[in-house]
Amino acid sequence: MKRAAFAALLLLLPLLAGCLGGVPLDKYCYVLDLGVERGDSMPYRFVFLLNEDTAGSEEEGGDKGQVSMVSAEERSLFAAIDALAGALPAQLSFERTTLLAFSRELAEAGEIVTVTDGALSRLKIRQNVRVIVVEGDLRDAFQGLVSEGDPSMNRLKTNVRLFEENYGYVEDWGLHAMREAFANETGDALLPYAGRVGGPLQPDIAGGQVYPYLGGKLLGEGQIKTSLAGSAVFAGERMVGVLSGQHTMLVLLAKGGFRAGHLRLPWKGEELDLALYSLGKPCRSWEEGTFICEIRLEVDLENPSQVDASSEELIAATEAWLTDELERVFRITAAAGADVFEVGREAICAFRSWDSWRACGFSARLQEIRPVFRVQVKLSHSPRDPALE
Amino acid sequence: MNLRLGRFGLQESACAVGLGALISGIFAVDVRDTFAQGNLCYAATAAGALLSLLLLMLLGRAMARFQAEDLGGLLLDGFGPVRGAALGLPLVLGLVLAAGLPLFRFSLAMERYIFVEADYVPIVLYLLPVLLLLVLSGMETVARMAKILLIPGAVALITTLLLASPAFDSAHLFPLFSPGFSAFIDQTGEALFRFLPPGVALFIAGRGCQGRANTLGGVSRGLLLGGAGAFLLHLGLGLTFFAPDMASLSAPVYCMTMAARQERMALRLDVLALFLWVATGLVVAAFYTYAAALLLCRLLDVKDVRPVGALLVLQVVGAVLLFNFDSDMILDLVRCVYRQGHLLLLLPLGPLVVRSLLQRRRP
Repeated sequence: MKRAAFAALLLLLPLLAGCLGGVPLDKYCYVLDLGVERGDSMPYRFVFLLNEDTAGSEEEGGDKGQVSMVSAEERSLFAAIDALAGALPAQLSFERTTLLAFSRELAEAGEIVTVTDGALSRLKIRQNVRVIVVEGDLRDAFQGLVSEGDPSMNRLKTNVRLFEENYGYVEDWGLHAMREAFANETGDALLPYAGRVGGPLQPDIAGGQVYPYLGGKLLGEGQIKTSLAGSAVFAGERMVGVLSGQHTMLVLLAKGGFRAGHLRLPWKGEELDLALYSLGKPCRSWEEGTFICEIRLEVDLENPSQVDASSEELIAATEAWLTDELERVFRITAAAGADVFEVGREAICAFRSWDSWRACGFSARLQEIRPVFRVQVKLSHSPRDPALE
Repeated sequence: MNLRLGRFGLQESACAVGLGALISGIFAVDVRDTFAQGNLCYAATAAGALLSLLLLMLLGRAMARFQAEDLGGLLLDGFGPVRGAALGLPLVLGLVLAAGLPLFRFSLAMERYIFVEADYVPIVLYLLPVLLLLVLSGMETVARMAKILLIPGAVALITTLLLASPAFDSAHLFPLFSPGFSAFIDQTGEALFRFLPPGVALFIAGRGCQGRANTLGGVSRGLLLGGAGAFLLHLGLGLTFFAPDMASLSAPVYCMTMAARQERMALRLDVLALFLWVATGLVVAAFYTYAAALLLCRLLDVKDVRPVGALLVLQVVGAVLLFNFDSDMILDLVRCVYRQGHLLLLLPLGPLVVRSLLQRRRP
């Protein structure tokens, strides 16, 4: 009898925690996306995209998918949360946050760490939350992402993944990876860079032609007004420029994150459209000041019948062009103090302790590094024979 | 007599020791000091597990020489009731602390990453009734629970490694052997405090294990399996984080599940994995606490394990609360437990082993 009573009491315990849904202890406004930019009257403006998915919303006729945007100017994230506390129907929760956006100005000032240090872990924001840099006003950018069919801005997040996997135009970065890049000189961050379609964007630090694949230069117009426009290049904690999607693809080719993409190869005064596929991870090594990177690719001509050349010629031209471009982008980013090729990850293997690694000041010696890129291309379509070989 | 020992076999013994080695091997690590200058922990874990196995085999041999069925009996036979009891007390303290360390790490992880509004103390207090229930149920229940939790424990290990695998990078292990050989020796010594307690606990509860051979078999198999699991996870941690970054994390094992970008499907698997770790950790803590209570009963000739067990559960929970206390003295004390905790076990066991090696087998 005593045991039965004890067991019954144990079964009733969950009711105390509201686990069975009968006692909504609290209501939450879930922050889906959090943006930080310069404020007008205070140092920072914090923009929150909220999903008001509260415990009692269904019973009260609330819409579960409804999102709203709120912002507050304050000195810190905690102060902004406090300022909003009285203006919101429920408490803010960051458990479901999946995107952190920082304005370009803030990134260039190297204040991302100042704003986020400590606050994000205390707010229980997950370490794998996606991080991007946004051009222009964050409220506009967030508004541009909300469409009728996709009120929770998932499209941008999906695009980051899509552009990384299918084109190599951006690299998907999480909070943990960004912090690691900021803290150890083993490689610098290359965060996705987004902007308003048709709005002003920063020029590519590597120069050259920017093809109209990504946001800001899109030739079409759709429902979503904010899109990805390349990558924000960091040197330590400070953003030092922007790389276009094409140049980001070259970086990913050498880093090992590339899977597939497109390339326009200069060819006898015209351009050839090539599809690139990775043939495995690049072989990277470090030998006394020289960074060696061997890349193997499969290249597919998009219009083989229009090319008047032998396979050998085309392979040689592709390999030479890719090698030159990789070296050029490497030297430009190194000159900006950014180790986006993550050479530090190879160089650290030659050190015996963290003290000696820190003492060597690797970031300051980036320009002294001699890059050697060896690109090996396999052509899947012969120009003379468009059928698959 | 109400010692609640029950009867359990080789599989249950191996599972209890295996889960103990896995949980202690992973979660009873002083993250801040161990990783501050580099990562040797994976190598020290392997070395510590093998060294512990060797020491425990010698202890098993000592039990055979004295024809003792359990460790309490060995202490009493080897040193007499007064000296035996005195030597047993550090063992009890060592087991209580060994039970508290993983629970401390789990409570920190839950407080920092799971329960948004809760404080540390209420989370720890939630562990109390579960631990009490398990300890009062006795060794047979704990051992059978360990067998049931073997698969969830393996699932937690595999899930954690799989979730973190996209972030694996061999560069994270470099500079290789960074703090040097003396640090490796120190860390191997510290690792003894992670791998000796499960074996010692099973030797204490040896009477329920249906023979000395089963006890020895359970210890060796469990320690090898649990040690291998702990080594794999530490290697995974080393591949996921640079050592100085890891030193700043309060719950690296939970953080490693979130190190790589995940799509929605995998978004909550990290919490599920942590839940499995906590469930397994509670059974392991109960195993150590029960063993400590049983040893105390044997040494002080107490006939009922329940009041002693309840008292020790309170001590374990008290230790878990104390470990998080924000004071320099407590921090130093906790650091001392991590670094010198193995001495609590080695000081009483060492003389026993030496004595058995010198003494002739009983006729």
